[in-house]
Amino acid sequence: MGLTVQPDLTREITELMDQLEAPLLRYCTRLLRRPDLAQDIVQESFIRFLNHRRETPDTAINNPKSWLHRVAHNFALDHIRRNRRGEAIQEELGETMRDASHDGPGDRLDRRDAAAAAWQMLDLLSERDRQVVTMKIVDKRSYKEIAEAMDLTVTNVGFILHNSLKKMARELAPKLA
Amino acid sequence: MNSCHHIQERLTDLHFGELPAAEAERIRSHAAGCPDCGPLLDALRDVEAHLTNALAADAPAPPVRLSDDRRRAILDAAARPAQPVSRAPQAAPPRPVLIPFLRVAAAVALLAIVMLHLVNRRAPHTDVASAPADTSAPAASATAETSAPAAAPARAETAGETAAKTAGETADQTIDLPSAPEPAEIAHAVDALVKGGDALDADMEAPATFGAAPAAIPSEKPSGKLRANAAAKRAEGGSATTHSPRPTAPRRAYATMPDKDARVAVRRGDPKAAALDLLSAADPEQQIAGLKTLAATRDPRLVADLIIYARQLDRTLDGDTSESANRLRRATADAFAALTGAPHVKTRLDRHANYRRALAGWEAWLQQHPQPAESLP
Repeated sequence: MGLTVQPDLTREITELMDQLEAPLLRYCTRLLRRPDLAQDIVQESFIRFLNHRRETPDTAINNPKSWLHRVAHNFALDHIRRNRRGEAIQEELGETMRDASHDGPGDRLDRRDAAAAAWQMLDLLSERDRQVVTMKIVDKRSYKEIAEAMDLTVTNVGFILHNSLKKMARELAPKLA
Repeated sequence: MNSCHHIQERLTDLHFGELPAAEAERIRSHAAGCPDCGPLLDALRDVEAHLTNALAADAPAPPVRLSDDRRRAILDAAARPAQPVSRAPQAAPPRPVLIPFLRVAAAVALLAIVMLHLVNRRAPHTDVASAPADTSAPAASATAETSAPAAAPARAETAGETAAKTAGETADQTIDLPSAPEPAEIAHAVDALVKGGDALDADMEAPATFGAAPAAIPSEKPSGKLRANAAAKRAEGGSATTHSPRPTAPRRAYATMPDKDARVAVRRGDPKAAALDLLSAADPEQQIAGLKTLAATRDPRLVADLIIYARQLDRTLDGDTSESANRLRRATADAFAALTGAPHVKTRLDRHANYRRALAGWEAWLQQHPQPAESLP
């Protein structure tokens, strides 16, 4: 039975890759700052999609685009969380994998602290709101693009961004004071 | 104040360049001279700049395509014949030899504890007996249901269970947490949350309902799928909710909320976060659930949030006479009445002009009843 759906699945995944690999790679690269990792994560997201389709053939994924964005985002965030500490140690040892050879150790530490503080603020948000914010700020997408990718309305995106930024501003205000 | 609320909700759109030029200019010039909106706009800019500098600056150029080998691996995976759904059991990892012995030892220790407890219960010194009972609780409840009544933490669970029984649910102490409930289920669940029903009547649940939620809900993320007949009961409809006791309702609402974040927020006792989360969903049913959740707080400080949503509804529903649009308008009006204690809107809200008139009234109310600002600045 499963064999009969393979051509469809191959065609579907090819179309999805053609359509989404570039935006997903861009998003993950900006989030992780590592093109190689972004490739891994995007590949893993597509594989996860295939597995999901196979394991639950009767459960339709209504919006594969949104589904894949969410999975890639979650993979990327998992990676960031898992490696926050490890990366910090690597940077302290001067073994950062980023191309930061022109930075001094002070710059690297400042940037690391800033990134940690930023993720701390983002952790205040729900999973979905965090994704909307990162798509806007990290990936510089328009409301319309975010709405399409996340299966939301443009109004929803504005609402989420406004509330999220206000929430984070409240957190940031005492630190800037 | 009124116009400021209207403008503040557009400041983020202004900052991200999502407004038409004329509106952007109008809001920018207002913000430049307004002691409330100007600082808020600055604060929003600060956050955005902070996040951009920390996360988005100096990112390397992204690849445009997946590498050939990765692409091939995905296509190979797609072409691979499907595995049977019932997967072969994975080979169990080799177990250390000690584990069976430890299990036997644990069982013996457990038995001893239970016996000790039973003996102590018969003994006259009951105060001494209570201590071992507590310590034995987790093990006892984990292994033998019959010994659970002796344990204090187990008793807490049973209390929740009792509440569930009185609501007409089955005696199971666990509850199913469906991953993707039907929209109708959501509305029903939130109806249960606001007491059995239909609309947001005057005798709605007080915020204490939410405060009770964490006690009634498993404290961990449902380790999966706690089983019960609750889902089936839920599908049967209102019989269980007509006189639903308070501890049960939030539990049911929590269990059927479609959005994980909202469920988590209610579990944390943060209905506002849950409501805002639901209000920003695309699905109208979820938005209605959000309105009901917001209304159930009966907290007038949330009127400003409601009005922000109501204004967006005004923009998006203009001319929409569908049933879904009407329900959204009505639920918004009901939420306003619940939060403020004002009378329900009597006019037909399927006419958008009436809704707009009602909205003007709500804004006027907010102007006359300034609430302690939760918002910036």
